[in-house]
Amino acid sequence: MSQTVGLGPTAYSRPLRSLRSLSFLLLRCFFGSTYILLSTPPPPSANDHRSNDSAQGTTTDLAMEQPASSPTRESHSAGSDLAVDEKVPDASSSGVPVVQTSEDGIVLIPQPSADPADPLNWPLKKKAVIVSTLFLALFVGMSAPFCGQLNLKQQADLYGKTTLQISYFVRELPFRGRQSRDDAIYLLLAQTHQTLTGNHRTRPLPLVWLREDGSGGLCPSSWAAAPSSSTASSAFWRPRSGLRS
Amino acid sequence: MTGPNDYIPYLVSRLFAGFFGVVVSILGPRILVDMFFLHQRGRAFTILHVALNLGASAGPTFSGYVGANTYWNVEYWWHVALTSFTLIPVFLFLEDTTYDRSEGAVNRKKPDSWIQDRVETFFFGTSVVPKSTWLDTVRAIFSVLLP
Repeated sequence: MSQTVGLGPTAYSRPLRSLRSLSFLLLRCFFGSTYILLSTPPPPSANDHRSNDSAQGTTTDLAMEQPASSPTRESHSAGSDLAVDEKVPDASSSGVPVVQTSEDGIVLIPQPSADPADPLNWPLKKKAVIVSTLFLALFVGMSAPFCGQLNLKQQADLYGKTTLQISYFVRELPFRGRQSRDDAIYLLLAQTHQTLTGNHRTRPLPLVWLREDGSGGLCPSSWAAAPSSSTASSAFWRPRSGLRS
Repeated sequence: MTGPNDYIPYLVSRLFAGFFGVVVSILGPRILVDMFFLHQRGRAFTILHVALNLGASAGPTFSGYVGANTYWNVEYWWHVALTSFTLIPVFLFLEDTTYDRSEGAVNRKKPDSWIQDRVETFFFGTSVVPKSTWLDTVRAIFSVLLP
């Protein structure tokens, strides 16, 4: 292939190669940092569920007796470092349940199977790559709904709304039908927000909030949230008195 | 969507962004539970929640910088690029963690072909999980709503 002068293919390929190398380097740093975070052994804690023979081995016999001639099988069970192989007595031949532990003696919950395809038995590097990918995906998924959150004034001017109406974008949708402690915390915050904004004219509906002037109040930030704050104020602090017809 | 009468389309677009954006925050922890033992989950969950907090902060922050000196609609484009890029590692690296450890359970055998594995996982993912009916799906939905 002949060499070109100036802005030929070679002139473009060099920055592309650099960009590719930089991308690979960033990916390796990204995956590597996750791997290091996951593989660092946890400090010993009084709450650890450690087996009685943690100093010696990797398994604990619930019956506290194991035949000396018990056959063993290779397992990819994991502790602080998931790449460690362990000798696990075969429970099926001995007839007694066997608890697998990490090399630190921590009882593995849940107990992994002997199948290398079991996600619990995957190498830590593979898990680190998946966690890194989830990190990126979650970052993207959570940042997407909040784009435009700081431009309420411009949006209000464009659509002929008040900034308060536009601020409903960052509210939550009532989606779940169950109440929990988390909901109570959320609703408390929502009520605080409601008080701060001085807005008491929202009308709760099952899935959509409607302003009294008929404009929408869909709130896309988080669907896994709680009922509306007006409903909450009625349910938790002023039973039945706060509902608006 | 940027006209004065496009408030409802804009509203719906933000609804979709929120509806689909939080999917990872629900399914991601499920994947971690499938992959990690109990004593390891704290660290794994922390990594994931750092992403959640950073994402919720970075979205408006970066958008604010982008849209500071221009029309505010421009601020969504940086996220279009980021989302497009994220689709690549998700397609390349994520794997289904469905695994049944009960006695006698038959689990999926991963095909030798990487391409076939990707196709089965993402198009449309029904062959990598146990068969279920629409009735099961409806039951699952209402089981969440029932006390």
